[in-house]
Amino acid sequence: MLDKNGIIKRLMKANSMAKKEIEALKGSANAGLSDFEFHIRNYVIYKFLLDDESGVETNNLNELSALSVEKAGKLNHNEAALLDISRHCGATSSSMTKKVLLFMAISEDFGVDLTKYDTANIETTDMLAKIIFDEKTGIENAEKQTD
Amino acid sequence: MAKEIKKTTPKIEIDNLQNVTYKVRPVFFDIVHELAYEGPCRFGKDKELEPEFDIMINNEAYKGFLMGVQHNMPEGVEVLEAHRFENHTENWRVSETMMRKVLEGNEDVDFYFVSTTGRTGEMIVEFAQLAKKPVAFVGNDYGMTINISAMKARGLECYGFRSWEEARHELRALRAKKVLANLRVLCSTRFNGNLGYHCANDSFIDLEKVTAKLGTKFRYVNIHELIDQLQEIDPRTNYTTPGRLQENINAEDMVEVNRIIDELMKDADPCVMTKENMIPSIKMFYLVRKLMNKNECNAFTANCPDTCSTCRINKERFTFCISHSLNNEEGIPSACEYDVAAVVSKAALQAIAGKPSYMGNTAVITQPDGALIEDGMQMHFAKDHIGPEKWEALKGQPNIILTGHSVANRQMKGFEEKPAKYAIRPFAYSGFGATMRQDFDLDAGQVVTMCRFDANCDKLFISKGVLKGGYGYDMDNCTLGSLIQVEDSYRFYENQLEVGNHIPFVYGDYFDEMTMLAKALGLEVLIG
Repeated sequence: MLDKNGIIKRLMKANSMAKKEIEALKGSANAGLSDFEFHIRNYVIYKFLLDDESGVETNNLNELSALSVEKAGKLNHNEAALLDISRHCGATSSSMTKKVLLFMAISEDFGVDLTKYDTANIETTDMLAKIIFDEKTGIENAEKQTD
Repeated sequence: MAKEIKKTTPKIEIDNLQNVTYKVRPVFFDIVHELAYEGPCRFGKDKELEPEFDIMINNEAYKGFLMGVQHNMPEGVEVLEAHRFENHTENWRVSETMMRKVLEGNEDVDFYFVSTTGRTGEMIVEFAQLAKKPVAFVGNDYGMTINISAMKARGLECYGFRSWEEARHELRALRAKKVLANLRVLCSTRFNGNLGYHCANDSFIDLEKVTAKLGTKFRYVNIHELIDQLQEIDPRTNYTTPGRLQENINAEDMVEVNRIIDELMKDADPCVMTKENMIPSIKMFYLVRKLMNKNECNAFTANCPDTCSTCRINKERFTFCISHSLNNEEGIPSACEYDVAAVVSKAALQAIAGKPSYMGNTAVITQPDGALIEDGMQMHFAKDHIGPEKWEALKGQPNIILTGHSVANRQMKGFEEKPAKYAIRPFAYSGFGATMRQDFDLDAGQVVTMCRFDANCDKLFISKGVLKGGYGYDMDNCTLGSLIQVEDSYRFYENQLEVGNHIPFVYGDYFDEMTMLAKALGLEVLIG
């Protein structure tokens, strides 16, 4: 179990690694859909602190967020606030919260608006990658037309 | 190799009770906070307080809720398109426009599942007040106790299910309630419509009260008009209804009657009746179906004892026994001796179990200590039917009851199952009156659930037992029966005294659902 400082360090490391995945995509002018699928899955794995877990093969976001909640419990159950565990009074679960916070983080990191999608239907990292890819391609094309 | 038995289905459309669907609509109440702030009514950090978070978390919760409903409904329940109360914010204005939108189509809904992401309780209570339909939450959270108790305090029908399994049980019971409200019994009577003159006078005293309480309707056909229509004559020339076009059996009908007889005779093991002796009973069966169709009924009973004394049954050489057998096995509750309470009881069992029921005279055979009750006419009668060997074997077996009439059906294990082995034997010793027999020994060990309404339609007797075997497969007349071991035959008897003789049963354990049905109907439960 990690103490509060340990968790902060762990989160900083994971965020740094996740950022590298974003940079890998942003830095490549020719990144295709398969590149997005690869790097976005890695991004999710880091964000969910699953990078040091063996045997995580799924790309289902609900399953990954559930694994992440389980992982948070192992790291330190009392540090829920740091680990994106639900503290809401409504009928929502920690894995839902994790999934939504992931969408909000990726929206910010890529500068895309995901609220126009029914995000509940984004079930896999590949589906998420496809949306981000289409959004980025659309934005770049629009920018080219403006130029 | 087991014989492949063909189902016997006449070409007459009946609005079968098995087709009654219970319609549920999921309704979800969103809340999206307009402003990002933290305080005693909401909490979170950073992005969790932003409207975008609420929008997405609502979507997640809504999707999970819909999946829960869609994947957990029992047979006979239809999930209608979900409605969603959107754009509600913490300015707490309740949009009348949105409330009306979620209530659209309310008249076609039987039941609502509701869910929310929180702080919408007032709206949900208002919704339930406007809908005037049962409303339910599923899941173990405090929102349920808050809102369910608030609705109960306002006299609203509502349910708080801790699990989907609980919800499924209750929905089966509520669907059965709807089935009873859609039950329309064709009653063939000689004297009055409520009760027979000298049989089943333990049935409902007042059918209007039954209609008021359950919604079940009753349509009547006079027994003489019914029997007249067996004649293959000009349907405007019946003795009892001269000039009126009736539903007499005609040449086209006789083609079907002959087909049904041929099929029944071919597959029976054995059939000890001649075709000539079977024809009148199958003609009556076919006529009953025609009249059910014309009267838009889906259940049947006839007053055979009152009719017997007209001697017209003897003259025409039919009985209603096989009509009941063939009706029941197609999902048309059908009961002997103008026992309307038995018809409704059979419908309730069928609706819960999704299987046809069997019925008959019911009596306790052994005491809780295993001692046989040797006294009384019934026991002499039963002893003769059961036979000396089986009778002796019952000694020492505690809590045995019998239920017996020659109205078996071949689908006791389910409408979609292969028909069971059966025999065809006459009711009358002079050879007429087709009856279908079932070998209950083959199903020994089967759990059964029994029920019967009391004469005032205020109580429901419910019992459970284990089928130990049967008797009368190889005998003629009304000698077929089943032997069932119940939990406490003394208690069974005491409560049977409150409800009467015929106690129908279905295969399977549906005790809990039957109890829920009784509760939903406002009936006192008597445990047998």
